[in-house]
Amino acid sequence: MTTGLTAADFEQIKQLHARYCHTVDFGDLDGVVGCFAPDGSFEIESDPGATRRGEHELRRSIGARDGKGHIRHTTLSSMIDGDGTTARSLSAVLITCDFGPPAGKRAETQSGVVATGRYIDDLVRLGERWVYARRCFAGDGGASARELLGKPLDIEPVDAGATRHELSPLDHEAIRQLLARCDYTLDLEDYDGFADCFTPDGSFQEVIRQEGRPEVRITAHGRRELRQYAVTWSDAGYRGHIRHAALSAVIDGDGRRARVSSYTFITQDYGVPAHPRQHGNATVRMSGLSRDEVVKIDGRWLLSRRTFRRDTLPDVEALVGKPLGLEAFGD
Amino acid sequence: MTDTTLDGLAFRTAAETAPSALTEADTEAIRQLFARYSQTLDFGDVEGFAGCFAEDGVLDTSSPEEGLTGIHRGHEELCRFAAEAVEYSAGRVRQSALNILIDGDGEVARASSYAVVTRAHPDATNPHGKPSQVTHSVLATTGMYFDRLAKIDGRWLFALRQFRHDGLPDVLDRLDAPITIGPTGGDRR
Repeated sequence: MTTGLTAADFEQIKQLHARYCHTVDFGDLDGVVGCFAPDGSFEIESDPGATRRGEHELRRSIGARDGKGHIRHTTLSSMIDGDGTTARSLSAVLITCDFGPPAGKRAETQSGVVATGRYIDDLVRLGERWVYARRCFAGDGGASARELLGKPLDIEPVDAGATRHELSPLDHEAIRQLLARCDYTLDLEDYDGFADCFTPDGSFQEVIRQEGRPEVRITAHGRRELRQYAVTWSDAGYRGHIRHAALSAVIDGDGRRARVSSYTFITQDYGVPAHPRQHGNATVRMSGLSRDEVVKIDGRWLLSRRTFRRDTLPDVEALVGKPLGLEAFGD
Repeated sequence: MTDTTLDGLAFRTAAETAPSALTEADTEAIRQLFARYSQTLDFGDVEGFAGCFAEDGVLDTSSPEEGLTGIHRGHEELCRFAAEAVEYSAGRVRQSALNILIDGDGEVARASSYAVVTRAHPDATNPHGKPSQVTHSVLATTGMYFDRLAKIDGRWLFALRQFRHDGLPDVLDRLDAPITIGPTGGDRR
């Protein structure tokens, strides 16, 4: 587990990720350059010729960007590990483009998905600040994403330290990164990694409804069944093209256990774009609500119970108009 | 001394602001406030939603729905807004604050974040004639949150939350200007 990063380190790195997106999208060139080490680089995995290193090249590439003011790079979730001086981060990113002001309440959408992908970062501490030594964007659907299928995730879980009487900032961060790990390992077919997000007797439960078919409740108890669930889920199709992300996680509990309510944001990519500048090779597929119970064991937070329902299903609709609670969906 | 204009992030003057004096407990509490705002609003927990704001807190929001757009101040107006919003959304909109930048001190803070909003639809159609999942979602909109926050009796609350759809002048006018919020942004002021 990661032991070398403090809650302050995680917070600074998350805000660096946010700052990068703000500065790139709003054309703050000094701000973009300030996110990088003096010899830091930005790379696009599918396009080696696009690598930019150092202030001059970074400034030039961002300044010439298309879609200025309408493109948004949004970091959905991040997993981070490292020691006190260097760190690595793996983030899910959503890139969108707005079509201008809202066209009226009948308009279905005002923005579209341009792409989904990952930021793969090497970070270094410069004085009191964390900056990028190397930031690489890898689009979902590319060859590298295929190569990741079945490989173990190489970002260490967060060591949340000793158990206290109340949730610490480090506990909150460890829980959020646990949800990100659970999503990543399921999407990238790291079956053992997915099962290891749960306690040995942990469970996952969801409801599947398909038009014209009876409702199916899927339950997996224990790591063997959880691993099998991940295998079965992968075999159902869309191999490597679906991405889950946990957003807006409300967390409540004490230093030993907690409940979490989070939105599950699900996207699908359509593979490699026909040409590098093609826009719109991914879409939002589904949204849902996860209700989880997590426990802290030897400094690591794990899922003891995960329940999930797609939005519009009766269990979710029944929550409308009621005080926000964090209870898991019933079996 | 506070700047009470609605110009987003001009909360305190640069000289008055102590950048990143917030503790990790403060920033985490603010992140939880953002998540609670989303879930109470999306699910129509009107009291829980209004409870995210200070007593005289303000929500200033753009919306294509006439009754929702504009300024909503204080508990009663915020409750009314939330009730109308969930009627409009039918409880199927999900909005999240992401890319969260925060700075401030132990009493007040400001934040800037991106909003990603989806809408779920029950959908029985499948162009291939095969059984389909009975629900899907679309990206409904994106936008920006600009927040002023205050710590009152140990709880972080919204003093002012502004939401603006991307593409509106309030957002586009920020192009090519320095991002002056967050730990590093504070250093550059």
